[in-house]
Parts: sequence; C-alpha cells; structure tokens
Amino acid sequence: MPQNQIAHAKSRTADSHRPMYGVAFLGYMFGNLVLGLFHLSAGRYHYLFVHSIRQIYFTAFQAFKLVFFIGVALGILVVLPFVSLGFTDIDMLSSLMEKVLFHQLVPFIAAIVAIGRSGTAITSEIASMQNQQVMEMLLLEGIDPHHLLVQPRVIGMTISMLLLTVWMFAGAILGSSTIVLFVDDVGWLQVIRASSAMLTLFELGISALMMVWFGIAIGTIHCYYGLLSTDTVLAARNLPKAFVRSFVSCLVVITLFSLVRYG
Amino acid sequence: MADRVLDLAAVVLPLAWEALPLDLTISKGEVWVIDGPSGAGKTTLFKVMSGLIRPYDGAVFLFGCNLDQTHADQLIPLRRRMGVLLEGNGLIPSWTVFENLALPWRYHGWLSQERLEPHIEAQMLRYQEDMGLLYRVAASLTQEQCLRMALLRAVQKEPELLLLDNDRVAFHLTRILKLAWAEKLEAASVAMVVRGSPHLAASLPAECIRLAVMRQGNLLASGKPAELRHHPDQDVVLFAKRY
Repeated sequence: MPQNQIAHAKSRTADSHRPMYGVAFLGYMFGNLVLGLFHLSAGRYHYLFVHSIRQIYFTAFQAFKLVFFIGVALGILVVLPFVSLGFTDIDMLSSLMEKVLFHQLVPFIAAIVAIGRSGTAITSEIASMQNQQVMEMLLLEGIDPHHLLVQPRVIGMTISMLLLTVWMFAGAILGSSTIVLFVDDVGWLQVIRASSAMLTLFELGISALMMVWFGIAIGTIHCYYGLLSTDTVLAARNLPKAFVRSFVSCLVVITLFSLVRYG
Repeated sequence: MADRVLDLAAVVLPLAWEALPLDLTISKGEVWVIDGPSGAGKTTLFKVMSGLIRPYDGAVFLFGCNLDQTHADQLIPLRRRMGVLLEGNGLIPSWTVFENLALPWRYHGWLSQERLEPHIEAQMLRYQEDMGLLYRVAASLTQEQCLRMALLRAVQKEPELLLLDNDRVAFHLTRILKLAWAEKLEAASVAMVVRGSPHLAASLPAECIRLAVMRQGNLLASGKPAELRHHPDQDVVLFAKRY
C-alpha cells in the first residue's frame, strides 16, 4: 500500500483509537453503567447481585463498629460545649443535633470514611486487575468490564452510604443523649423522641438523596481512577487523586444541599 | 485446502510509526510462532488478531467473519471458539480460581449451575492440574500457578484457535499438547498462534510450525522455518534457526 494511502487510513481511523480521558470517559462510564442495568445476559444479574452484596458487606457491615464509634464521638463533641455553657434545653439540643449532625457532619464524615476505607480499596483492586490485563480478558470473553466490575461497586457503595449514615447517626444520638442525660433530668425515651421529632420526611428524603449521590460519585470516581491505572506507578499516583476528587465532589454536593435547605 | 480460522488481509498495525500492510492466514493443523526483536509489534499483532484493537487499515477475518463488521453480540459465539492467553494472566485477583474459570460459562449461561462444577473439575483433571488450587483465591497463587490457571481458562472452552501471547508458556505447552492438543493438531481440527521464545521449539511438533518474523510492525517473512533459513534478511535467518 502506498505511503499516502497509509497516512490517509491513519488519519481516518485515528479518532477511534484515541483513548478517552476526563469528563468524556467518566460520562461514558456513567452512561454505560445506567444502560448496563437493561443489558440482559443469562448470568448477569447473578454477578450484579452477588458482588453488590459483597460491596455492601465490606463497606457498610464490616465498618459498623468504626462508624458507630465515630458517631458516638461526634455526638459527644458537638453537644458537650453547649452543655458546658449551660444550654441544657432538650428541644434546643435536639434541633442542634438535627441541623449540625444529621444535615452536615454525619453524611460528610460517613462519606470520608467510605472514601478512605472502601473507595481506595476499589481503586487499588481495579488497578491491580488492569495490571493483570483482566479488562482485556473480559472483553475477549464478551463481558463488559464496566457491567461486571464497576456496576456492582457503584450500587453497593450507594446502598452502603445510606446504611453508614444510619449507623453513624445512631451513634451520634447515643453519644449526645448520654451527655444530656448526665446534666438534665430527662429519660432516654424523651431524648430520642425529641431528636426524631426534628426529622421530617422531607429532611430524610433530602438526606437520602444526598447519600445516594455520594455513593454514585464515590463509586464511579474510584472505579474511573482504577481503570486509568494501567501499571503500578500510575496506580500509586491515581490513588490520592481519586481520594481528593471524591472528597471535593462530596464537599461540593453537601454545600449545594445545605444552600437548598437553608438558602 | 485446510480450514482457515484467521485471516489478516492487508492489515496495518496501529503503532506509533507507519507500518506496512501485512497478510497472514492461519489454518487448522498449524502452529504459528510470532517472533521478532523487542518492540517488533508482536503484542499489537496478537491484540489485532484477537479483536481487542482495530488495525489502522485492512480486515481481520475470524472464522470467516470480518471483525470490523460483526456486531458485539455476534462476536460472543465466535470468541467462544477462540482461547486467548495474554501477557498478564487475566485472573480476577479477589476471586477463587473456580469463580474465574466459571465466569464465561455462568455469565453467558452456557452451562447450568449443576453441570458447571463437574465440568471445571473434569477440565482440571484432564490437564493434570492440582485440584487444591480450584478454591484458592487467585491473589494467593504463585505466578507459575496463575499462568497454569490462565492457560487452563484459555483451553477449557475446547477452542478451535488458541492465541498464546505469553513467552513463559513454553514449558506448560508441552503438557497441554501431550494431553490433548497434539492429537487435535494432527487431525487438523485446531490451530495455534504462539509468541516466540528461545525454548519454544522443543515444545512444539516440528511439522506443524509456521514462523512469522516481525520487525518494527512489519512482517519480514512467514512460512516454514526450514524455508526461512535461507532468507536474505539476517534477522529472519536468526529467528528461523530457533525452530
């Protein structure tokens, strides 16, 4: 084939060989994940179900003690200064817990725990798969790696975020109530009743929506950086990048939600 | 005429430099060895042959189907007839060997759950593999064990074409050939493409070997090694003498 024809062929097909990066790849990945839910293969849902459950088990259930303990500590830390200053009104403290803990701190700290514990594990696991050419092997088997490896992680992470928030909030109620009980003559039931009265269905819905977004963002961003890590050097570089990106995305989202709530 | 399993027609490899188009036909009963110096484009050629990447130009026909014009769903049954071993072992590290081997069968619903375990155990026994490895997590295996399991995954579908892009495979190839594949090659029911390595010649049946020597993305020469020993290019002669 003459050289000019080869050059023409190259320019014609060069675009199809250019790997996707950045927003384009992230967008493609997200679209593929959504479309993948409707992709019917005989054993597909078996893998989707089993690996989503595994992700939930690792992210939410194995972290239960840790997250609950952080919740207790947060509850104590938030309420203690107010109680020491003499603000012991149960309604005021419940309102404080709702606004500061439930709306702001608990979801954000839960997201940081999920990023640090599970997000980094996802990135490094997918990076090690890239290193072993697992993605190529799956494509050769006629399996979309996004459907098999990314989708269960994103679904698992999303459900886990909801559970982590529940665990941490339960811990926070326990921690703050314990302080209130020491200084005020009220019972446990009163404290819990006052706290739950503040949580309306709207507030719960907003928080759930926020946690779903956190889960999707953390799962997708960490898988994305894992997929970009084709060797161990890149994996080492991409791990902190993934951490920072998902941290910032959660921070932006929680700020936006706060503006909607109080703005 | 022997059955053609893979045809490369005027294929230009997608490399950073301009390569010339190459033609290669792989038929049943043949063992093609792709050899050449480092950076010759052997891995790229394997990726093009397996359909992982598209060539800049030309066409790849797998079992008579043009890969570029075949829909992804139609590729699945074609790929079932092809076994591939890449440079990396391709095993999912956090899964057990059984889960790795079972993946294509389960995912595509090719085998029911009841028949899956006996099938994989039978394959392990057939290729004289250690059954103790079956339920171990892939990450806990040695590199050698991973390679054996990856090779088993490549042959477990009884493929008609085996692509082995791994230069550490020579030793295990002897066993695979002895246990099943030598007979199949003799009966011209399968074909094999192997990445060249210094110790490979001892593992392969001499009469089946065809050699393709590459350099800088170009196919320098192809044919039986004995014929290539008198080639004007010294690189071709050097590699032909290996086989």
